[in-house]
Amino acid sequence: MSTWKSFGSTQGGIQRSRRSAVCRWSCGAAALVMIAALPVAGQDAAAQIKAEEERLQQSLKDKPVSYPGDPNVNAKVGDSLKAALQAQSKGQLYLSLEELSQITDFVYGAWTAADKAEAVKSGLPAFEAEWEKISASVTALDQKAQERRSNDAPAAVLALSETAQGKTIPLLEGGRGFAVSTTPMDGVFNVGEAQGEAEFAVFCATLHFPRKGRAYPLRSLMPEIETFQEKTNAAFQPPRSIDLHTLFMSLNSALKQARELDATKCYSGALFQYLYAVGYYGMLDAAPLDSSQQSALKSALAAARQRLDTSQRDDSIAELFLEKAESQVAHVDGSAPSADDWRIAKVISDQVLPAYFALDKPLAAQQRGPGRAIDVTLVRWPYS
Amino acid sequence: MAKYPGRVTFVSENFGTSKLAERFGVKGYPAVFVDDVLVACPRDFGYFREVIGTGRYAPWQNADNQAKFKADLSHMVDLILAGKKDEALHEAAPASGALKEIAALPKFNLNDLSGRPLTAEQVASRVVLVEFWATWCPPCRSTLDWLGELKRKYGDSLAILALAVESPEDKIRSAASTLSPDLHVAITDAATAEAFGNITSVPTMFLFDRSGKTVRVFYGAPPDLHEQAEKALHSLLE
Repeated sequence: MSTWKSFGSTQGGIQRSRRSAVCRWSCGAAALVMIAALPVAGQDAAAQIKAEEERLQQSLKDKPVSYPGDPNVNAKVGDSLKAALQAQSKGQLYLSLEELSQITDFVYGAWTAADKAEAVKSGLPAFEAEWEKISASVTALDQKAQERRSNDAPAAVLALSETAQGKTIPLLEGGRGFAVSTTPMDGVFNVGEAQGEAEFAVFCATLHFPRKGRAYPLRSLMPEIETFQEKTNAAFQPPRSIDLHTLFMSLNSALKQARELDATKCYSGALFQYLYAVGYYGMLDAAPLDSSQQSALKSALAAARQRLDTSQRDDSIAELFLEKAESQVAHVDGSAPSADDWRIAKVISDQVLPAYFALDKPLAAQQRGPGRAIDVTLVRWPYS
Repeated sequence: MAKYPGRVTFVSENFGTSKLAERFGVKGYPAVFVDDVLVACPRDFGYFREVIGTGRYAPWQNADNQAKFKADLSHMVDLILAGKKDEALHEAAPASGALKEIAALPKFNLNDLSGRPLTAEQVASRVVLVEFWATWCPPCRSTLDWLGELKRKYGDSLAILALAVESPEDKIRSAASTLSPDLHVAITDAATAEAFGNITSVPTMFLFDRSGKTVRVFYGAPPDLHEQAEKALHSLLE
């Protein structure tokens, strides 16, 4: 199955599946990219996103990234960045911003791994020294992002920012865990990713992005998340638990992030991750589309577009998913959508968007069980 | 979870920050706990630097192994819900670091931090506690301090070996300088870790009787570790 998060081929191929990242880049260069991206007075969000993506594009030319086992990774990241720019030029700003967040995470990881490879060669004490430095910088960035985050921004921007912030500290601590458990080199990639997430959250906070209409009625989704987790656990049965193992991992990871964001009252991020979980779940059973189904889907997407365009409410999270579906079935480069592209778009149209609109109801009174008796705890890598 | 409506909460913790994992010295992932009983660790799944295919649920992408894990987890939940934690702990033990159980104090040949030889023969005919620890493991520190107290209490009838794993020597020496001088502190080599059943998590503590027979293995640092260990020691030494 192709990647639901549609990070081109890059995400599926390189994202966090290999822990022994030994890449090339300079962390110093990484910092420069975002520093340069401070907002220019009068720039709107579209221009800011474009400027940031172009700066990153230039930086990748100057300092290519590499990744063990994938000689084409720099080209793939470049393609993803190009796709992000194309989305931006088509006015799909939320989609473009999401792609930027994924690229930033990976590129910072690769840069940092390359930059720190020599420094951490001597072992754990050297890693700890580097970790302390980066940790201080990441913590400061994280704080800055929290202080600057505006609740008047569109929910989709908040969702991306909250998701990035939610990942920052686990990546930082997880990187340390890898360094201790395996080798120092194994940890630096994740530490770099943490910096990338923090930088991205700060970038989101600088965006001049006015919210359209009244706010979406965000609330805790914990009851829905719990129910969905039950449903997911029940679905984890052979042969799907074996054949679609990676999809289950993504599904559980999205649910986990939703739960964590919800617990910290980051309800935009929680909703966004919950909808991703709905999408992953939908992909478990998504069948290929024949031509008549493809036509019907196009009509459904057009209707959804009209509904969102005329909405007097901030439905930007739904907008992001709709942009994603639209980009799946109408490639910017004119190439034909793959079978998986159609399936993803269909799941968004039939399951994710309806789930979004169903969640704008107030929380129903919950029936309480007889009370918690025990915990079953799974310790896991958070993002796969 | 659906089998236990309202009685079981699913909790997901992150590798790197999980307090439970830290307490049990589990360095990799995935790990599964029922309350504070470790029921499966990375080795069981053949993950995280382990050889795929060697764990009891490995390879994970196999229907029988997934079914076995579900059955085992369900069994552990049943035991703990029924208040049979001791039974659960007994059954869970192999899931932790020392997968290969050892029947007796194995041969080893180390030097203590002063360079003096430290062998199994030297501690023969005494009750022996062997603690595997690491400088980066906070729960190990409190356990080491407590071992000093035990040594003071039981004197020569008890030999205590504190064997450090995967830690920088300067940090080991620094930590050891604050410990009871009556503990035998040494840096473990690979052969010794293997001889004790291939230690992969800390703290792990072995208790051997005077004949060298394994009496008990304690994994991690559960809240009642000291109580449990002292109870076992009492039966051997009093």
